[in-house]
Amino acid sequence: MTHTEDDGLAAVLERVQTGVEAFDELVMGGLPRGRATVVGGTPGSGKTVFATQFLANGIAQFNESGVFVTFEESPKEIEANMAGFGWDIARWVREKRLAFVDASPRADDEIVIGEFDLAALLVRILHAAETVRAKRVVLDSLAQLFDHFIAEPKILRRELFRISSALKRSGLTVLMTAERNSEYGEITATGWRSSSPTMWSCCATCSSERSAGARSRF
Amino acid sequence: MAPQPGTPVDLRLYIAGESAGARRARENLSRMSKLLPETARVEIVDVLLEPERAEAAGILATPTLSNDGFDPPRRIVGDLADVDRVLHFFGIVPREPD
Repeated sequence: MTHTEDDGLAAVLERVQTGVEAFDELVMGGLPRGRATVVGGTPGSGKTVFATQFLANGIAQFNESGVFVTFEESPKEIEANMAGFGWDIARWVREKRLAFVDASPRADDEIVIGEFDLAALLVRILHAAETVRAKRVVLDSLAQLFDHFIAEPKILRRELFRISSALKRSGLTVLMTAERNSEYGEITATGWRSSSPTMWSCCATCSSERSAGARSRF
Repeated sequence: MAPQPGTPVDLRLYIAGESAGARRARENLSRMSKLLPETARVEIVDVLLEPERAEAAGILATPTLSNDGFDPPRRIVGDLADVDRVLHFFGIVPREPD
């Protein structure tokens, strides 16, 4: 049986269990395999914890390695924060079941002059995925990435589309977190407020559906 | 704030393969090289060939020109279209043409 991206057969897509039971029930068994899904939530609603759960359960329950692309906290901070959940992140990194792409803010003084792309970020994600033979990838959070290049939202949208397409081609199941400033409003985040619907639909297209109810409260 | 003149010039240009942006950045860098102090070091890193160096240096965007003579490094993202601004940002006083 064959089906294309747009023929509305999202229900037949294989599902990747997040391991968060209540959530998996809500979204027909889990996230669509080989697609990118955006999870939006208000600040402090647990987006990073949910994203980490997706990776941690993948490793601990389903034997699927993961890549954590962090735009906010450093890998060390994530490791410390998650120790409370009983996840030994450092051990998984040593065992090559988890890899970080550390894109957290650095002290470097940086300016933009002329055109650019995010090929370096994509290459780093693909390299990390290859190193651990990853099946799952988390990008946390898009708001911080947009903040980093705050004057260039157009380039960012184009590049994010490119990144999610490339990850999809590699068969990776991608979870991206994004900020929304109210529980039922439009998905928004600092730096891409005006353009957020495009962003959302771009990523929704990647996942073939809007992952109804895919908020990070669970 | 303008940096102190005399900071060592230790440039690393991170590019991704042979894209149009990579080509423009290389051309602009080579135009600029005549103006750099004689002690300047210039290296080109293709992240497609050496992804682990992009990871170690925390590079997200290409092209990125990093001046590792500063601690922490000073970085310019983009194809370096404006050479004067690049030199100014790195505190480089252009060398007189021979």
